[in-house]
Amino acid sequence: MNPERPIADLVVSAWVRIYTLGLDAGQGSDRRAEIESDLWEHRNSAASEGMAASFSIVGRWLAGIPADLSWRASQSGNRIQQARETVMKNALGNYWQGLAAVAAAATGYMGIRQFFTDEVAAGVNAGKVAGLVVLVGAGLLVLAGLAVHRTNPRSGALLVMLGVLPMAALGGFGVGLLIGLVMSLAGDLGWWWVPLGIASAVATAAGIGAFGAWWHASPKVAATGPRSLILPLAFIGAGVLAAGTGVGLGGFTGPLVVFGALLTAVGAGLWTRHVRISSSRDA
Amino acid sequence: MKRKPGALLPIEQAILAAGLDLRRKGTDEFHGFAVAKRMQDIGEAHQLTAYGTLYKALGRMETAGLLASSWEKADVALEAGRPRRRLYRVTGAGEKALATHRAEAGRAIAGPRRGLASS
Repeated sequence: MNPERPIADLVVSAWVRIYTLGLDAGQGSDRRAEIESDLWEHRNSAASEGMAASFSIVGRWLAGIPADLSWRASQSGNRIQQARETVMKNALGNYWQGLAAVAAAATGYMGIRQFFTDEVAAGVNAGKVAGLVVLVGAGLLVLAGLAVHRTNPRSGALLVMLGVLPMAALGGFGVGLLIGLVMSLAGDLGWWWVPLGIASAVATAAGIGAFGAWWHASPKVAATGPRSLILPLAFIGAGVLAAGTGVGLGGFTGPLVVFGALLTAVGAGLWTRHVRISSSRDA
Repeated sequence: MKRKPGALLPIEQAILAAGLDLRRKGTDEFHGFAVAKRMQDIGEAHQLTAYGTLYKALGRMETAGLLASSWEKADVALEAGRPRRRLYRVTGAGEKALATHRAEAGRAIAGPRRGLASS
């Protein structure tokens, strides 16, 4: 503390220090430096006269207290908001991609395993082939989404969301895990459902994380280079495969044909968008 | 209360008017105390504006693009033997906002007068 400084100035300085306490270095120090500069300019201005200047300074301080407090409240609000967004983004960024990879592996495995168990003795039927195509296709879709996410965050996250959907749905979006646990503990269900329940919960969590990433990603990141063709090609490829399998098998694979047609339509739409963006950029 | 987009509060009008007045006198950039003093001198404020009110408004106006600011170089302040100044200047957007506000205020005043004259 400078003993030669007028009390009015010391009071104002102390007040500024109090209401900027705990703010980020930039915000707090900027405000303190501005007020210190103002006090100095006031004391050294031509119109400044001892006691009159002190009264003016105290008056300016008192009259500005409500604005100081409201400014401080708004700064704290901004900080809390920023902290929340950072925590959200970091949390989403860290966990969902790993979960999606696990969900992709589990989904693919679920599709294939039916051909390597006792069930195969019952014969290969259209339903099993459809299950294979859907689950393996979904797993590949998740992997493609993770790859695309690096260059095109929104589209990549969308692919992951679509890919984890079958596995998440198979176990009731994770709810099956809880129901299974309760029923098994009651003693009349056994534990056969555990891998499916866990896989479903993992797929659901990955889907939620992918949704968060999709929500936070900038919509303007869409690339227009050749790599951006991966996404429409993945959709069209998966769609043609699914629809072709469905048509070839006939019988009760109608939903598979519709699913394949939908995927193909989405792929065609993405391709059209890519062409439109590329041509507008070249124009 | 939410205010109309583009609308200026009285203190913002006063700051812009004082800033532009200083510019006309050859001072393109101003610090907080200088603009408060100018506002008082040209009758935009009866007294020097309170610290909290003034600096909150300056910050808000900078965020809105009506003002731009930069900190004075440390060696300049050191040489002058005073604390560093944060220097503000009125941007093109600020100048335009004040002109628009004044034009609208002028129309609002002229409107009822014209109505009275014609009746």
